[in-house]
Amino acid sequence: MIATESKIMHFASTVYQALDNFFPREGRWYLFGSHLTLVFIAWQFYGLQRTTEQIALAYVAAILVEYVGFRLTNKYTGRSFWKDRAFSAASEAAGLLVLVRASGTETYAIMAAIAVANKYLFRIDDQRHAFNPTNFAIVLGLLIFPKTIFDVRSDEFALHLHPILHVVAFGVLATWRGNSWVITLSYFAMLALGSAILPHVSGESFLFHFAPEIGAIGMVFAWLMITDPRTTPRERPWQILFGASVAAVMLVLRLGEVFYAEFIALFIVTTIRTIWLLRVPELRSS
Amino acid sequence: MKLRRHNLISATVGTLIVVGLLVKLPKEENFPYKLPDKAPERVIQGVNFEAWGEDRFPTAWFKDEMQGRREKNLPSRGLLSPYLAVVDLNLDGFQDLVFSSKERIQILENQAGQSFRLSDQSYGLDLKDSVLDGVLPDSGPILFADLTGDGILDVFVSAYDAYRFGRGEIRQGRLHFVGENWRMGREWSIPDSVNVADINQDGRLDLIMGNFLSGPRDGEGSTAHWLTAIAYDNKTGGSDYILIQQPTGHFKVDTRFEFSSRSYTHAVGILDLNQDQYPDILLANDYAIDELYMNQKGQSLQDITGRWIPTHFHGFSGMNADIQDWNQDGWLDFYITNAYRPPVKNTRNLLWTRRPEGRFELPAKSASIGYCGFSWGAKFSDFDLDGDLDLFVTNGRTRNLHVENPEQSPSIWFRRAMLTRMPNWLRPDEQGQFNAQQTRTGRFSVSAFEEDCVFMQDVTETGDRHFYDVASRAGVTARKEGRGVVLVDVDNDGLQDVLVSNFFVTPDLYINRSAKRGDWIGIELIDERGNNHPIGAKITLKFADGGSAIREFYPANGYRGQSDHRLHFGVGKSAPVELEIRWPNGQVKTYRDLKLNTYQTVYQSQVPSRPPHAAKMQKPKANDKVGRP
Repeated sequence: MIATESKIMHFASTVYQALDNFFPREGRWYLFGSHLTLVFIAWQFYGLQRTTEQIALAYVAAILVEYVGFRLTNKYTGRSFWKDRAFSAASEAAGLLVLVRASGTETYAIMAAIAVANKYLFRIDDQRHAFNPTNFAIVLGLLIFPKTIFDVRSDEFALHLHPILHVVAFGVLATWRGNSWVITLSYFAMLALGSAILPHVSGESFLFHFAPEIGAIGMVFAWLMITDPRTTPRERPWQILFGASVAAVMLVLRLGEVFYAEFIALFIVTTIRTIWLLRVPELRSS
Repeated sequence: MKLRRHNLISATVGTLIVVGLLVKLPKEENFPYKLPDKAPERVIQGVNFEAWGEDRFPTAWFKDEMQGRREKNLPSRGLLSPYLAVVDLNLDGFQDLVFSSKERIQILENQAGQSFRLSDQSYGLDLKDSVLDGVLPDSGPILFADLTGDGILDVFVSAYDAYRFGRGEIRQGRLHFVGENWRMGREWSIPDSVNVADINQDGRLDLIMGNFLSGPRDGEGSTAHWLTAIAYDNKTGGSDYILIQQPTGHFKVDTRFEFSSRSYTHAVGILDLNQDQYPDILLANDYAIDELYMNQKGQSLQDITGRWIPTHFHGFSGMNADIQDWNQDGWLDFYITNAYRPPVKNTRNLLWTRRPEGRFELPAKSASIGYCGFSWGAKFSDFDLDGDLDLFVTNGRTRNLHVENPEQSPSIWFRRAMLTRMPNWLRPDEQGQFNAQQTRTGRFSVSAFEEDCVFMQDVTETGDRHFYDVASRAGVTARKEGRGVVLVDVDNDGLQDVLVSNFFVTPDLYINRSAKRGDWIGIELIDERGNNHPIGAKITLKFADGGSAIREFYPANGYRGQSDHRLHFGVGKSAPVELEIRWPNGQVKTYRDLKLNTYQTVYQSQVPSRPPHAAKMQKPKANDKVGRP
């Protein structure tokens, strides 16, 4: 019996080891896989409302700015630009192409440049930046672009199950390998808890509060944005607090009928965290 | 220390952005739904519209109807607002107004341009006991055209798989319509628009049905789809189709002219894109991209949307399809309205402007024309007769029947926006609960109480063209939820007036009292059969300075209405020298004896064998039969 158990454990361990060796540890590869393929599939099959020029310019701008930052700073010393940073930059551009709808040809390029530049400009230590690049570009876009040319919406994805499954599949891998799944879990737990409580305040149903976050945008946000290993805590208790805080702030903003609440909530929480780290430098790993 | 400085910068920037967001992103109702009025004085000077009151434009009948709905506590969703038609029913030379809401057709007779009165004549348009009586949901697009080709106007009214055709006759000096009922077996199609053209150029007019909803008997339960439809849904709406008139006079759906999607079509626009005389079709669609179809010599339709009107600009809430050459470059352009209500909806109205090589583009300098709230019907006209086309746009989405001022009606845009973010399979039940809750609470609005837009075109000395919204200063101040817009010259003074139908509230009639900045030409076309609605005619007015203005005769272009059939050209200070008309049968004729500042009749035949009214007095031919397919 013990021998059988041992064999099973050994088999499981072998399988896990094989998976562990097969799937890269760095979450950005899954971000890259998710967003670039999603943009491509949507472009080909959903009729993504982005022009070829917008898509191309966004990628070029992101990679260019990444290159400049890479050369001028020591943030990614020891890494290869083309094998590492270029993919990261392209992922950030793709994320914006998925989440944002803008009419200007150059808008995505500007936003992609802002997203990438943010990594080099706003840091909390040598390796980590303060704000998630895509989130930073979106909130700054909300601030600087007139509403006539900029919006955060992904109508093309809303009719299909595919984008949700697509993002979740890559998101599970990203959070598993990046050891940040606790953030997503705590985010959804707080969202569920809040959605159960809020009907007593708003008069709406549980689903009314919860379900908007399980659409395509919500999935990108929950699995691939708030779990960004470079802008989120590494230790489990802090991860739980981080994920739950984002959900809580978002629900409060929603109650106030604030649009784009999740993006603003994430930005508020990361800003508070940045301030916290400023005050308590020894907790910088949190 | 270096790290601390980095961190300090990040924390400061983050804080500033958060503060900026909290300041810049107020609640939804504080966002402006149109751009501020920045019209120079020279543009606004003299522009004036007078809203006729109950004494001259009776609307009590509409109030009564609405009161009945309030008492029944009927929900305010649905499509109820009358379809409009402008037609001279009593042949007195003044245009009468027809309101069709399927349940009833109301006629207002024009009293020599001084006022309107409720008609005591039915003109055969009473729909009681017709096939349309009792058909749900509400609909009722109406269209007047000489479908039988006998020189007399006929009428076509449509609803869910039910059509009422009225053959026109002249009785005691008035038009009278003798009704026939049709059912086409198209049970998945509830029309929101109908237009008319000779699609296959066989000399017989065909009907293009723009269908918004699929029917309640649809296996896919499309009415639920409509309640929950979201952008980029071109599969669950109504199925547009074309009724081709057969040599026998019967109409039949011709599968060669199938459209490639099932979108939520609000408006059908007709124009001849490539000047081959075969009419091409523009569909303004809700929830999906708009569509443009090139007629393949009357054999089929080719979808040219992506190549001609780039889809990434589309607004997913297309409502209107008015077609005019707004910049007088010799090519027809079109204007599709969309919803604009930041931060929820920031799509805009699209002034697709033709490039000579074929593709349409959105001119940057006309940007202001893009923003007019939750826009619906729109019509181009030269309101001040300065020689340039201006534009009237109506807007506003909905409010509960009991809400009579903005303070009573919290916006539910936010909650609707949250619904549209839900995955598709979760939405219907939530939407149903949401609607039920709203009906119970009885106080809500969505883009309600918006003021219409009057965009006056201003051409600078360098030739730049700008539009300025002057509605407030021009007297267009009603804050209702508009739908259809038609143009009509009520008093034949050469200034086109505007009739607006509203959603659940009384219609508005704006009489244009603007100071005339130039001359005008008004033309009634009479084709060789004595028909004064020569659908498909192309008219080019040429000026002494080499310029020209063009029109194509499709009076039902726009949204929810058929405008005055008389062609109207404001010519400003230019001197018109020649009128070139390509008549529907392809004959091209030029006319030089043009009279300014009056309506004149232009005949296709040099010596008209049948002047229009005399022609109408003749009995219709026995063979000209249109009927049940």
